[in-house]
Amino acid sequence: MHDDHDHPNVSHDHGHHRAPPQKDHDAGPMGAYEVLEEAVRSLLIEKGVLTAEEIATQVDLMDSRTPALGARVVARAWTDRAFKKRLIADTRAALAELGIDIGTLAEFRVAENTAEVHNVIVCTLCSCYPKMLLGIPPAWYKSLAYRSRTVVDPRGVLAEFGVSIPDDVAVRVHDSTADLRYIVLPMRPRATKGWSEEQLAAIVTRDCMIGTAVPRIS
Amino acid sequence: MSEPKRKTLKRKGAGGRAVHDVGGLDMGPIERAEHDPALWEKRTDAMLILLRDNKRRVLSVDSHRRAIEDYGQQAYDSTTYYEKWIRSIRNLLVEQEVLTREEIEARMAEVRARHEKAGRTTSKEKIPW
Amino acid sequence: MVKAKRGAWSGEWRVGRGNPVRGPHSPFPIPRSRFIKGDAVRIADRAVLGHCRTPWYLRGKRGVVAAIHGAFRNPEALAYHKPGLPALPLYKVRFRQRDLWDRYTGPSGDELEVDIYEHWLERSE
Repeated sequence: MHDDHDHPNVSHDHGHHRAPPQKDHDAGPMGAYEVLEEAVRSLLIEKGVLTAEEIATQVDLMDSRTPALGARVVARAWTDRAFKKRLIADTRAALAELGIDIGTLAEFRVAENTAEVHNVIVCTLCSCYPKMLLGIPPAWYKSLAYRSRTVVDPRGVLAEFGVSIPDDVAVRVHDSTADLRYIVLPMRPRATKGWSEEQLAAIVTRDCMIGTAVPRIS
Repeated sequence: MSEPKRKTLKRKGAGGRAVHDVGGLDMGPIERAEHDPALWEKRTDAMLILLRDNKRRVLSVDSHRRAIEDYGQQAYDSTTYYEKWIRSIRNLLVEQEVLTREEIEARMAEVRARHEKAGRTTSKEKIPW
Repeated sequence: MVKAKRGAWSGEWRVGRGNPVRGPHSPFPIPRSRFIKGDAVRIADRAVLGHCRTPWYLRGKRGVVAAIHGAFRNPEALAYHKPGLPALPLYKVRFRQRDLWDRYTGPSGDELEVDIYEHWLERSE
């Protein structure tokens, strides 16, 4: 009913080297917006505002930010109580400990799921998302349907994702309206006692960190 | 490739709620299909981040959002996420006098001509200013 | 180019150990704030000119300050290439869903939290 696997958005064929420019020729007719992108990019490069190298580096950087990164952080928080405290108190610094630089675009906060509270993240006004940790958001997160309904009917939205939260657990929705980006820290399933961090990270999907899924053991 | 185009809820002017401000409305079932972004979309994302960085500050995420919010419901509902983005970048570059409308339109014509010559059809759709 | 100016306070420009570089959206320390955690607040209900990050569905609604995030440049000014200073305290405001929506059918414990800039908050009695 919901996806158990995420496919990291990486240039998979070329290891640490930059992939050669992808050809769009097989993608059918070129839309007007794609034409516009090429026009704007070429003009900005000519005028020295940007370089092709900077653009390619930035594309690679975003490709390297995937839910797997977030899953690592969650797994560490599950196995290291002191790290979890630091992660909640100062998320930027804790991520920096793991070598993850989130840049200056926004600050991050963690919404911790407990036996009493299940958190869900949305941005009703646009599509704010913790991209520097999780990569680019899925299309549904950016959709008018998700943005409009999650604040008023979160349990209905969760049901569409196959998630049912009991009535004695509060659902807490976070609408990211400012410069804070939210990541849900899901609850660790009890049956994972003794698991390694790697095993734990494998059950933390992107949707678990948005709040539209909970970690499941297959 | 794009979000499916369908009739959406008319909501402009309902006592002041802006077109993008949709929290609390019911805009239908959530379509779960996922796709990897095209290269042009990734480059659009990259350009936005570069144009707002400390080195350039040509635009900010706030001016970018504002530019998108100004589109009007028809354009807002019928364009995809990155179509909104590249149009906003275009508008802000002109607003900030980094590029001119004429330069952009001339370059678009050149880009189309080059791709057509190489055997790829290009859309003649005009993106409203 | 917008350069941030130092305010009247001798601020600590490093917020959190991992943030030596400042960007336009980096938080400022707060010299003082109008509200503190636990305060009952009401979201202002007024007409908006231009860009606004206080959603329509919250206008006039009552909630409680759950946290203060720091002070940030005003997005309503940044949207028009202005510096957006002085920075405004930004609050995490918590609402009961049943207070927001007539038709909310979920349990009474369900909540919603939103980040709101100080100039959109009023004291609620």
